[in-house]
This record gives sequence, structure tokens and C-alpha cells, in this order.
Amino acid sequence: MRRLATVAAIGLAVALGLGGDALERRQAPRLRRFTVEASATGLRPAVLRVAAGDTVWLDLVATDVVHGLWIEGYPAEITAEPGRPGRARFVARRPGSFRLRCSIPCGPLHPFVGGWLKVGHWWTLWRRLALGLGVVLAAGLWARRANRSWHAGS
Amino acid sequence: MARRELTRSAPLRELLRSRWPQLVVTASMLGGFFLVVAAGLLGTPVGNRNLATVGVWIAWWAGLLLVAVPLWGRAWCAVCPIGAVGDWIQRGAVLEPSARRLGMGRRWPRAWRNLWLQNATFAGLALSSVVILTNPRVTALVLMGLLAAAACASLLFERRAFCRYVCPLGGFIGLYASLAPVELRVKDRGICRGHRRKTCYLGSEAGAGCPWLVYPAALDRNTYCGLCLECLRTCPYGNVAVNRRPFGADLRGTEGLGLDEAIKALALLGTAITYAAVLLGPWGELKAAAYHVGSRSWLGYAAAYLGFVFGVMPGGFLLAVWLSRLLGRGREPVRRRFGRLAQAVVPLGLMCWMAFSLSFVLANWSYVWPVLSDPLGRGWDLVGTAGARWVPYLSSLTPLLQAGVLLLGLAWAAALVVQHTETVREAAPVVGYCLLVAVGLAGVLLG
Repeated sequence: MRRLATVAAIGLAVALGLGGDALERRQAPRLRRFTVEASATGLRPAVLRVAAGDTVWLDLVATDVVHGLWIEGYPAEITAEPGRPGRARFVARRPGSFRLRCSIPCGPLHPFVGGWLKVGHWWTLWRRLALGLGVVLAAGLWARRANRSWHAGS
Repeated sequence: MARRELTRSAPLRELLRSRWPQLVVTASMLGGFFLVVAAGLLGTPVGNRNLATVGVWIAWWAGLLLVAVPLWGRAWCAVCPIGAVGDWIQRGAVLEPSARRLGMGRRWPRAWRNLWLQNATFAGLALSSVVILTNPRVTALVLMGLLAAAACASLLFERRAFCRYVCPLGGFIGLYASLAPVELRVKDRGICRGHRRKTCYLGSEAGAGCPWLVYPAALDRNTYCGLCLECLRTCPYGNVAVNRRPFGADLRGTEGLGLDEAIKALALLGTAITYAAVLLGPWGELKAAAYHVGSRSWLGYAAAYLGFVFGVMPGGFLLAVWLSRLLGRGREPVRRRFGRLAQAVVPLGLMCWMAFSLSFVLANWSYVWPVLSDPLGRGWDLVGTAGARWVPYLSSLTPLLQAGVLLLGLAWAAALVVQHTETVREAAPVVGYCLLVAVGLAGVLLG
């Protein structure tokens, strides 16, 4: 019974991790506009949520000094000066969480000025972690069984 | 992987017994130390253009946390310039052993022979770490302060009391050194029992008595051994060995961690989560509060940090341990069980620090190239890399690496909990605690 429950848990984790994309609700792509204010301590808003396939219009407004915005996994890189906003437009095709980072030194906290572009459902990340946990659990069970067989044989 | 004595190889043994290689590396590190301090005090105040911040908190930190500690444990302590200067002053010599002793040579107070002072110094540094990490002058002042404190301690107290009981980084490295696949141990304790002169602890014409206040024959964990190798030189019977061993071999014992060590392990785990939230999280107000040391918002941050790492983290773990005892068959006292199960937190803690460090080290490593050409930020171009642009390395791969490292830490911790408990029911609350920590950190690091 315990073995069956473990196998079922691993199976569920793998199914969620690999097949979850198919379960995500599909909707017609939309145009999403964001105005992000950049300052020496961070971005506001720092988390941008869109659905996969949405077109993103991003206006970057520098509130103190020159700032840059680099978006992981997307070719868009924006520069904004105080009074002269920068703009980028791209289609958010890949689901997942992507880091936003300031790309132009803007003060002492510059390496840590950033945020997130979250594409798709909030549980995308957790499905993948569940897959990882399933793999770890399976590897642990395999190692335990291999260890037992080795001891039994020797 | 079974234990294997590395010093059985005669050339390696001779290399380790010689003081020259260690001195050359330590002297190079001391040169680097003074260069970093000079850059911090005289160079540009822009953090990502100054050797002090980039060299220490990106390059050195990456080497220490991602390579040196997991693979060689306390090897850094063997060549650390901060402890070396005090050691040289105390011994009145740099290379050869000397009978002359400078300083008062007092014994370290008995009440402080534990990790509580290191827990306090680490928390003190952690509270102002956002400024230290980003401001070259503050980095330089902190490094000089540590050097001065180590030198003063060497003049007041015997041996390396500062390294053993005060150094904030020493406590950090020492705890995680118990995971390393390298150890220094005696081969046969019977030989030590019969050896009256105890030259490994008291010293001889061949070398100093253990600077780390450790009697090598009693050594069963890496935590307090600074790998200075003096005992390898002073043992007349060749009874001291450097071994290769399985990862985490120190954490399989039934004795467990002392309360000071267990709290250290949990506080370090909490600090990794705090740093990830403050430095890599999307909360600008939190960054600003942690940066403005002394302000009202910083006082709130400080209270929250101390409450989290010394209250919530140990309190949550205590609850898990209490539940584990309730669900188990044994009647072991909670305090003893707390120390025994806290061993599982050690690998999880190191992996959490590695996952946190991967993110900012890989994203900011490209700042190292311009600084190599222009360490003071004065417009030089010494090796032709001054114009290198900022490029985050392996950005698509970093979340996968972080998730892998966190899962490894969780699996390692769970395996240790299972090993230290008798039933699955008994293990479940503590594994649940580790899972909660790993998932919480994954949420902050991976978005």
C-alpha cells in the first residue's frame, strides 16, 4: 500500500510537471501596457504578470538617474533618462518567471535593482518544482533499493 | 566513497609539511587584502567599478562559497590573511617556528568557549551587509577592523582565539566544513594516548602547538580544525593524516550539534532567506530599509531580521522536533533530539547559500573584467578589459541550477533526518520543515 502511494505521488508529480502546460487555460492574446518607474532602490511595479502570447508594451520611466532594463530571455533592452522614458514592445511567448534587471549602474544598490516578468499561471514554477521533487523521490527510492540489493548480494 | 589517506603519497605529504607553499599563498592573499583595502579607501565610490566590492563580494565570495567550502572545508582559514597577521605577531616569526612569544597569552574565558560570540558578530555584520556589499569604503573599513581585532586578540589571548571564537566568517565556514570531502584526523588514537609530550597540542621545535586550540586526537569533526597543518609537522610518529572521505561524513554521528551550533545552523539558514528576499526580491522598500543603517526603517528591519533568524527559524524547528518526538517511540530529551536533527539543516543551509549566491554572482560576474583593468576606477586600462560591458552569464540556466541545488539540499537533509529517526512518521515534521524552507526560498529566487 505504501509503495503504491509513493509510486502514485511520483506519477502525479511527473504528470503535473510535464503535462501541466496542456492544462493551462488558453485565452486570446491581449495587448498589455505597463509603465515601470525605476529608482535607485527598485522598480515599481516590480512584478509584471501577463498571459503567454500577450503583446507587452513597456514604458520605463527614470525617476532619479539614468536606468536601463534588461529582460531575461527577451531581446528587449530599454534605457530611460529622467524626463525621457524608454519603450519596448515584445510578445511574451515563453511561460515562466523571467528576471528584470537594471542594466546601467544607477547607484549603490544597482546590482540588486530588479523585478520579475511572470508569463502564464502562477503555478508554472510549482509544477516544475513538483517534477523535481518527484525525480528526487524516485532517485532516492532507486538508491535505497540498489543499496539493499547490494547488501543482500554481498 | 570510502576514506582514503591522501598523505600516504610521499610527495603530497612533504608538500603539506613544508611551510613554504602555505606562506606563499597566504602572502599573496595578504597582498590582495591590502590592494582591496587601498582600492576601497582611495578608489571610486561606485561599487560595481571598485575592486573592493567586486573583488571581495563577487569574485572571492563565489570562489569561497561555490568551490572552496564545499570541496575543501576550512582550507581558506589556512591561508586567510586576517588570522595570519595576528599569528605572525604572536609567534614573532613568519615562517619557521619560534620559541619567542609576544603578547599576554591569556586563556580565552571559559564562558565564551562556544559559538555564541560568533553568532553575535555574524548577526552584527549581516544587519549592515547591504551597505558593506555595495560601498567600497565600508568594505575596506570592515576588513581593516577584522584585521585589527584579530591582531589585538592575538596580543591578549593565546593562539588563534579570534579565529576560533570571534571571526564571523570562521563560524560560517566551520559549520559548513563538516560537509567537505576532506578531513584532517589522527590515524591511531592509541599512539596519541601513549605520547606524553603531546607535541601536536603543546608544540615543539618542529612547529607550534595547535593554533586552533584543538587536541587532534579528539578531533571528530571539521568544524574547529583550521587546516593549518601544524600537527602534521609536529607529530613525531607521522600519526596525523589528511583524508579524502564521503561528503557530509561528520553529520552521521548520534551525538549531534551543541545548542550554539544548532542555533548557528538555523540562523544561517534564516540569513540566506533574508538576503535572498532583501537583495534579490522585488521589494524596493525592504532594500531601502536594509541600506539606510541607523534609520527608523532600518531599526524595524533589524528587529525583524533578529526575530526571524533567532526566533522564528529555531522556534519552528523546535516545534518540528517536538512533533517528531511526539510521533516517535523514543523518549529522548527534546534538547538532545534538537541537536541531533539540526545536523540535517547543515547541508540544506549550504545549498540555500549556494542557490542565493548563484543568482547574483553569475548576473554580476562581468563586472570583474573592467575592475581587473581599472581596480581603483580611475580610468586605467591595464589589461585591456576596462570597456567590457555588463552581461549576465548563464541567465537562462541559472534558475535550473538554483532549483537543482535546492533540491539536492532538500534530498540531503531528508536523507539525514531519515537516518537519525526510526520511523517515517517521526521524520515527517522535520522533513516538512526543510521542505517549507526550500520551497519558500525557491519562491523568492525563482519567482
